[in-house]
Amino acid sequence: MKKFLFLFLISIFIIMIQSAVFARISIMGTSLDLVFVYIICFSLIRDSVESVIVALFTGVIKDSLFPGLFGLNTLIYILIAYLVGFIQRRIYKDSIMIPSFFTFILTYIKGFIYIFFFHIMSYKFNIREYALGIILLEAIYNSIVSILIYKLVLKFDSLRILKHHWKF
Amino acid sequence: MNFLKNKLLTIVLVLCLAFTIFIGVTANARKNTGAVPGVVTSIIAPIQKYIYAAGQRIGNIFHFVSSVSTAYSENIRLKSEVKSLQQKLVEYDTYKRQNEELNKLLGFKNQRNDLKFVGANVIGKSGENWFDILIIDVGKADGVAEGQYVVTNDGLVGKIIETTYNTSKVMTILDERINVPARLSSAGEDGIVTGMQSNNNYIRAAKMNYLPVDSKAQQGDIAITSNIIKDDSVFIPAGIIIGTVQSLVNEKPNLEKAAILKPAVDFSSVEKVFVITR
Repeated sequence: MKKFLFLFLISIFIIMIQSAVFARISIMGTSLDLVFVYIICFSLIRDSVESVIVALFTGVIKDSLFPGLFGLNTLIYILIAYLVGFIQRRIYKDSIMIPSFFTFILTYIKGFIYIFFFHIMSYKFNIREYALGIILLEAIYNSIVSILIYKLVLKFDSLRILKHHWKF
Repeated sequence: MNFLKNKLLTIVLVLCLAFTIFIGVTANARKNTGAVPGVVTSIIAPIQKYIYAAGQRIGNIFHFVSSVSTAYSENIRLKSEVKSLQQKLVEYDTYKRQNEELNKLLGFKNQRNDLKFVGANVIGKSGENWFDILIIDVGKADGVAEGQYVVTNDGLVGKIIETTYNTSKVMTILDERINVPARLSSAGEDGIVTGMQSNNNYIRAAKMNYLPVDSKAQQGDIAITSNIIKDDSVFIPAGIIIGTVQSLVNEKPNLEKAAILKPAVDFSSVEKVFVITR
C-alpha cells in the first residue's frame, strides 16, 4: 500500500510538472509529453501489474485536465503499459537505445489513436500536418527525454520502498 | 497481487472497454465535466498554482535563449519602426483631441466601465499538441460560466469551454476549434476568428475567416470582437482587441478571403487573466 502511495505521489508530481512547465516550452510549435515517456519507462522496468495500475491513475488525473473528452489518455496509457510490460520480459534491456526506440514508435501509435478518436468525434484537424510534422517532432523530443527519464526510473527502482518481496 | 497477475489481460480489456464508453459519453456531450474531473482538478489546482509560477521563470529563460538569435535584426527593424511611429504619434494626438471633443459632444460613455471582471491566475496548460487549453483557478463558485470571454490587458485570450467548482478550461484563440465573431476595425468587415497551424514551423496563429472577396482589409488592421451574434445565456463584449492583420489569403473554393492575425496577447507568457462575466 505504501508502495502505491509513493508511486501515486510521483505520478501527480510528473503531471503537474508537465502541465505547468513542459507543456509551455514549445520548440517549433510542439512540446514533449513527459507523462507518456514516464509511463513507457516505468513499464519497461517494473512489472506489468504495477505499470497498469500506475497508468490507470495517471491517466485519470491527466484526463481530468483534458478538454472535451474523458478517458482517451487513460485508454492509451493502459494499452501501452500492458503492451510494453508484455514485450519487456522477452528482450534484452541494457541498451540505452531501448527506451528511445520504444518511445519513438509508441508516440506515433499514440498520435494515430488520437487521430482515430478525434476523427470519429468529427473534430476539425489538419490530419496530414499532424501526422507529418507534429507527431514526428514530438516523437523526437520524447525519445531524447526518455533516456533521462529511464535513468531516473532505474534509480528509484532500487529504492527500498519499491523492492519486490519474494514469497516461497 | 497474484490474482491480478493471472487475470491482467482480462482486466486491461475490461478497463479499455469501460474507458471507451466514457469517451463515447463525454464526446457526445462535448464536455468533460463529470464528477471525477471536478474532484481531481479541485485537489490539484491549489498546488499547481505555485508550480506554474515557478515554471514561468524556467519558460522565460528558455524564451530568452531562443530569442537572442533574432534580437539584432529585430533591433534594426524596431529602430526604423520607432521613427515612423513617432510621425504617427503626432497624427494620433490631433485625432485623439478631435475624438475627445466629439465624444463629449455626443455624450458618449466609456463602454468598458459597465463590464464586470473576475481576476484569475493561469495554473496550467493542457491538451498537449492537439488543443490549446489554459487552466485557470476560478470556476462556478466565482460566477464563471461557459462561453464567457477571457482577456488580459493586451487583448483577447479565449473563451471558457468547461467549468468545475473552482477551475475552468479556456480554449485560446490559437485553437482550431474556437469560433469568435470579430470585426476589422478599419474596414468594418465581419468574420469569424479561429486558430490555425501556420505553414512555416508549425507555429500556431489565429485566422479570420469569411471576409468578402473584395475585402478592403490591409496589413496592420486591427481585429476586434463584435457582438454580432446574440446569445442570451452568455454576455459577449464588443471591442476587445484580438490581433493585427499580418497577411491576407484567398480561400478560392469558398470565394472569400481570410486574414492571418498576429494575436495581441503573448501566449508564451500569459499568467494573469480576467474573465468577463457581465
